[in-house]
Amino acid sequence: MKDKIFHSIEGHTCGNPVRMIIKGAPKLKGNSMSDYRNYFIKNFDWIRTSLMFEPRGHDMMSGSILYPALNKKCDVGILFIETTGCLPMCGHGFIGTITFALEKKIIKPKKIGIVIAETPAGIVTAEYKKVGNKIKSVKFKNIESWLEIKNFQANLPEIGKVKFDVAYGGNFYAIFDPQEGFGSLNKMTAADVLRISPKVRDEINKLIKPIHPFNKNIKGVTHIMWTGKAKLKNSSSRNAVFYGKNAIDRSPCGTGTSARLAQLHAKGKLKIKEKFVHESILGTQFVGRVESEIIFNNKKAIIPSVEGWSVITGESKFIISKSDPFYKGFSII
Amino acid sequence: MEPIQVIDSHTEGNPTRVILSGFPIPKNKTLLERVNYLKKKQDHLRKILNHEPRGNGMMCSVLVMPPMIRGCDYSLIIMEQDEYVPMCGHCIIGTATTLVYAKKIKQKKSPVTIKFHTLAGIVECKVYIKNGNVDYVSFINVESFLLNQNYKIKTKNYGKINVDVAFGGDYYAIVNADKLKIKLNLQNDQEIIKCANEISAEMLKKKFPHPKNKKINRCYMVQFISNKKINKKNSSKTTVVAPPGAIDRSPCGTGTSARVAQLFTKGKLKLNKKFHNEGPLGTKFIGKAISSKMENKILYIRPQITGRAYITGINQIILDKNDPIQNGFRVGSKGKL
Repeated sequence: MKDKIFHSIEGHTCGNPVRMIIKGAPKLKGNSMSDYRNYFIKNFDWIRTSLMFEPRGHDMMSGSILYPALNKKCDVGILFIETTGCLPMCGHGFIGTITFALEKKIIKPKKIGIVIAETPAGIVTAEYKKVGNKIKSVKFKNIESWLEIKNFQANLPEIGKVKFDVAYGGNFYAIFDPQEGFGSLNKMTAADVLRISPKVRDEINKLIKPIHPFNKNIKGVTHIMWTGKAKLKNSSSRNAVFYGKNAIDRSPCGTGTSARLAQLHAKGKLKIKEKFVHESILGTQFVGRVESEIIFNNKKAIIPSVEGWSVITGESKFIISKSDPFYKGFSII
Repeated sequence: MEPIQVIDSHTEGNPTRVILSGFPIPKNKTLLERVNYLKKKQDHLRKILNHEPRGNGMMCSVLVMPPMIRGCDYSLIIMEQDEYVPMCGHCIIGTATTLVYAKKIKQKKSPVTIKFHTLAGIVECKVYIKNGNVDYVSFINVESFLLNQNYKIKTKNYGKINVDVAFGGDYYAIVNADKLKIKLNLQNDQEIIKCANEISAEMLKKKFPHPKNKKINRCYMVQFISNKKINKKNSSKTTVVAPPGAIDRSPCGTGTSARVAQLFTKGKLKLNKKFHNEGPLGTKFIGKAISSKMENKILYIRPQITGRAYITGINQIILDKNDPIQNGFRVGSKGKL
């Protein structure tokens, strides 16, 4: 069989990788990006694993595949791929994809400064800032986010009696603010985060069962956010997000920042439109803002925005030979 | 700076990034001087190529240079996650495969012979071609030997362990995983790493001087072996761990050499008899002892290692001075977040 070839623009959003596929995308069927996503998952999952898993990718790899928009209002269609599957929407992946596609002139927005993208989660509008040929930042509004549980007290493995909040920003997050017990993120190593987080998450999910009111598939605490004092003068807070089996987000985390904004706003610690600079373990920053307050499922919620930046680090031509026993890639997770 | 052009491949699961252009080649006269120059002046390029976001925790890059000594086709500098290494088996197989793929080798008749000049000496490869494509690669590794049998260590969580200490380009603490009830599949990576780190810490308490090169005296690499194979036709299963946390995806070239020396010395493997060494993914290297000699009560063998590599991509590595993390990063186990 002939080798399959995929071309990509490689880069990262504040440290987290983005592999944007610009050539070689399979033909998909359907009337929306959501249909496309279902068709892709059913028929072409090997493309995802081949491009995301080792040896071409690794545990943290994620990316996107570009399609012409099906909705005529939109400038581009984006399908997200990553190691665990095809997320309907991915914050850092979105910022990277918009940046690379604009810098490489793959998309020409109808209105300067704005890209309207069709994602499997729906239409997402990006506002971008351009200086010379470079895109300096991309900002987008995320989905409804809210504080689900406030000041929950529990006795957790390794860290003992602690208080934490649970907030939703696309995933359910258990957010740990600095306190006795675990101290703060600044006192933890990556090995600590990888060791403690899964144990803590297991215990939390025995105690509480958060569930999305309109999507029963979204349930339970999947993400753990450890926070600490910012290291940079112009940051508001530092964080590390643990998810999956052994992943620590390299970026300040898009959905995590949204959940954090909802938590802080509900606790009266952050005003509408106030700038919240979220710092990652690498010292890279996202700017988050509460754009508006809303009522969602009869409860107070917010619409958050997340602004970040991306850099192109390479261009690749992937060769996938079916004579390679690992042409689909392999994962150790 | 112009982009660095590389071809990526994997050798039985483990990645190799062969640098073809765009990487400034040091002008020093000897290979060691060039390595030292890179360490001092251009170490950021190694990190850019191997570490995130362009690489990953397993990436190894190989700088391919015109031959610096007579009788060789290329001089190589092998760059790993932490350092520049004299020799690396999976990198040799990946580099030979890549050079034939990129049509850098004139000879076309199989097997194609390529002689690499490395810090460990001259490594001769034979590249076997089938239907115009590389089928597999064999190379002769450095002298390998079993230094210690049943060396005893005591660990906190795994009790007393018997270790065979063998050299195959690097020292390996060879440990029977079945006796410790540790399963050698990658889904069990955390336990494999935890146990290997305990063994490695104990091994580092003693020096194991190489009989012919006293500078080599540390045994920190751990090679687990097992009888539980994915493919029953293989001779044995192996998983090699480089502490603090890297598990070789391949059966490990220098590790297989050490294992062949161990088995040969113990009388469990005959001269020129093939040893099918299965790695954690079920892929294999075939090792064999092609010669042996006794010197000062140590039995030295010459191992030949055979394996396959596959091209995975042709990439341009782009640098951006405005990127605050241009030189890459590692999220390691040490250091506070």
